[in-house]
This record gives sequence, structure tokens and C-alpha cells, in this order.
Amino acid sequence: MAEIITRTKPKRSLWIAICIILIFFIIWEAVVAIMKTPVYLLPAPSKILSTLFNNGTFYLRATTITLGEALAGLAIGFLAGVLLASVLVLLPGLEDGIMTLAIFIKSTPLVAIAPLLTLWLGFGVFPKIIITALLTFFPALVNIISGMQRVDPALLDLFRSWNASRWEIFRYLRAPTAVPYGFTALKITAPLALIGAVVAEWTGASGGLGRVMWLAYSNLNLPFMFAAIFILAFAGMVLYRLITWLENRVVFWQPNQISQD
Amino acid sequence: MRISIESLSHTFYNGQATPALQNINLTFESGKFVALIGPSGCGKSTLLRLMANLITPTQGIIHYNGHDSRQAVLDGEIAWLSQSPALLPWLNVEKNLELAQRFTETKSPSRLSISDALALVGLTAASHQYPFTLSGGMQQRLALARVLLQHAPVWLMDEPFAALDELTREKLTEELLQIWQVQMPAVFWVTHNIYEAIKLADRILVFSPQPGRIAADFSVEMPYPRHENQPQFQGLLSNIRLILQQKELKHHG
Repeated sequence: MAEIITRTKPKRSLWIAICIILIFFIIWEAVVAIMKTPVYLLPAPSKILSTLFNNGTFYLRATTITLGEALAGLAIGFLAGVLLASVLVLLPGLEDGIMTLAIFIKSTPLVAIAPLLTLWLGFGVFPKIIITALLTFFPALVNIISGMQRVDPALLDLFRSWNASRWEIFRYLRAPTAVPYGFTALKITAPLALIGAVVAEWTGASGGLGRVMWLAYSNLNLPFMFAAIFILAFAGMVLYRLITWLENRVVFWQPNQISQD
Repeated sequence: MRISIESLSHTFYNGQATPALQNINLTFESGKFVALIGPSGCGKSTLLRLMANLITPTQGIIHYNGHDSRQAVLDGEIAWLSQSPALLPWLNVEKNLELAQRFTETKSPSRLSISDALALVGLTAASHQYPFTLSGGMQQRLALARVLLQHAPVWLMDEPFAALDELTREKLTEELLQIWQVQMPAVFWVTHNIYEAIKLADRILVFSPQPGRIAADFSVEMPYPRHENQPQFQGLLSNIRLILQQKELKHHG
């Protein structure tokens, strides 16, 4: 008989996380109140939240720009990683050369390239998307290539015993095996994409949360700056949760997606 | 299907040369159940992998009706079953079989439908389940259904039921025997279990270790079903055990 399979329920752990965040904010609020910390050094969470809600439209516009850059860069970087990983698995002779190039891109300090891209391409979203794509490309490539290479040897034997071609092994075995690795890559690269977009905006932008943070920092308007940080942290968390939610539905066969009673 | 192995030797090179098989010469007729028995590292699984063209021998050749193992794989004449059921976890039972059919149908037109194969291994009710919802025994039954679909004249089976509990293993071996008696392929069955070898095989090859050689070649002429209390069974059991012990002693100096 089939063993009983139940889905894990992450709700309890979510509540624990919310409680920890709430306790952290309460302690923060208390410390600021007791020590009478000046607002230009560390504003209380209540002050940050009131700044956020009083300037809702302003932050919404900035968030849309930054999130748009991050998601576009993530999509481009991730797809480039998937495509290149597929090419390297199908044509293993190219692996050494291409990986050297990929490591070269990874090792280049993007913080140094970002101002150059802004100089060349202007203050619009395009250079930010390039920076984000460059930042997310390498982790996506490495994870997906690992997934495509780490196929079950017994399955590989089976496909070989069927005389399956390299393309058929890729299509029916390597690509589906790499899907969980793709989700791991997404969970790593999604927060990176947000960081990439913000850092790129610091080097010169006409809008976005990075621009807001930079201006707020220049004027020592810390409630404004922290409000942007809160949005970024929240966006990162929501993005991560969304990816996990999608992963649970797509990669239903993985041991961490199921528990056996 | 006549299978002949001529002067077959294989050495693994991994920094140093490790001879796995040395000068194997054998011939087999179709419809025979051959058990390959011996201690770990004696080359029996290597022989099976060479026969399946999963590795290329350093010396010698394997002929299937006059053509080599590569051609036999191309013609879909070899079905492979390993200790791991090797199922695609993202496909349900039926889809796993559909994929197998897609690869093997054009080579050896299958005489069985997917539903027939599932019925033969008792998995009809589980056709829409995913492999992770199946017990180890059910997973191995599904792998067996995949072999049946292929309808190949040669079945290469590398300890297929070794990871299962004893009761499931016995039940599956009995079922396999019944299916084999209907389809009558040439079966090559790697095992560590002498009882299993005598119960199933009509020829038993006993291997000695490092490098792997054929230490003894027994013909088992006993009707099925075979029982441990039969004098012939006990005689064969003692003989095989004695050979394995002698080879083990010799190997350890």
C-alpha cells in the first residue's frame, strides 16, 4: 500500500517569524524611548511607519521603479543562467572556457561598473537592469548547471540502456532534475536583485528606493531612509515567500516538499 | 538469441589500474535464467554493465546473435533493471511507463499495453500515483513493468530486489519467475543470495574476486517451484557455499 503523504504546513513557522519581528520592533521602540536617541541617529519604528504611511504615494512610485528594475534584471540574469547552463551541459567541451568568462564577470566589482553604466547609458532604468542581471546571472548559472549535472546515476544508466541521445537525456532527465536547483537559485538571486537595483540607483537615478535612500542620507532624514529600508526588507521577504510558494507547487516530488508519516 | 562473451577483460583506471574482470568466455542460449553470484567486488555487476554497453570493455567482445552490444542496445534487445527502481519522480506511474514506451517501442514493438503491464505487476490501482507515494516494493514493480513493456529478448538485472524487505522480495521474485516463464527472455540476474540464485536460475555462475573470474558454472536442472528442503537444492547450496568460502580464503591469503 502507498504510504500516507501529507504536505507540511508552514503557517506555524510564519507566525513565529512575525512574533520575532514584532518583539524586535518593540525592543527597538523601547530602547529609542528610554535612551532618548535623536531621530537623525536612530528613529523609532513608529516614526518610520508614520513617515511611510504619510508619504504612501511617493514610496509606492519609488517601489514600483526599484521592483521593476529588480524583477527585470532577475528575469534576464536567471534566463541567461538557464540558457548558458543548458548550452554547457549539451556541449561539455565549452564548459572550461565559458565558466572562466562567467567567473570573470562574477569577480568584477559591480559597484565600480555601476557608475560607468550610468555615465554611458543615462539615469534611466536600463543600466540598473544590466547591473541586476549581472549580479543574478552567476548564482543562477552555477546552481542550474549543478542540477543538470547531478542526475541520478541509475536514471542515467536507464536512459543509456534506451540509447537516448544527449538531447533526449537533457530534455527528459537533466532539465527536470535541475528545476529544484532553479528554485534554490531564485531564492538566492531574488534578494540579490533588490540589492543590485538599489546599489545601481545610488550611483545616479531619476527615481527608485535607492535614490530615496541616497537623498535621505544626504539630508540626514533617517525616518525617510529607514522607511525605504523597511520596504526593501518587506519586498525581499514577500518575493522569497512567493518563490517558496511556487516551489511547493512545482517541485512537489522533493523530500522537503513532502513528509512521510 | 544466442549470446557469446569472448576473452572479455575489464580494468578500471582511476589513478591506478584496478582489474575488474579477467578473460571471461561464456555462451548462453535464449530463454535461460542465469544467476551471477559472488562476493562484493568480484566483477559481476561490471559484467552486466559491459553486456548493457554502459561501459566499454578494455578487451574482448560480447555478441548478441552475431552483432555487438552497441547494436543490441540500438535494436532495443536489452532491458535494464538496477537495484534502484530509477523512476522519474515528476511523472506518475502511467507517465513513467509512457516515457519508457516512447523510447523502446520503435526498437522492439511492444506486445503489451501499459495497462497490461500494470496489471501484470499488480499496479493498476496506482496508475495515477507518483513514485514518492509508492512503497519500495511498488516502485520496483513499476520498474519491472517498464522492463515488460520493452519486450526485450535479454533482461539484465543488477540485484533488482536487494533493497527490499525479505517478504516483499520473495513475493516479487515469485512473480518475476511467473512472468519470465511466459515471456522467456534470457535473464542475467546479479545476486549475493545463494538461495535466491538456486530458486530462480537454471544456470549459476559463481565469481571469484579481484580480478573477477568464473570460479564455477552450475546447471540447475530442477523443476519449479524449488524448495530449500529438496536434497538437490541442499547439495547445490553446499557446493556453491564451499566454492565461495575457498575463494574468499584464497583471496585473503
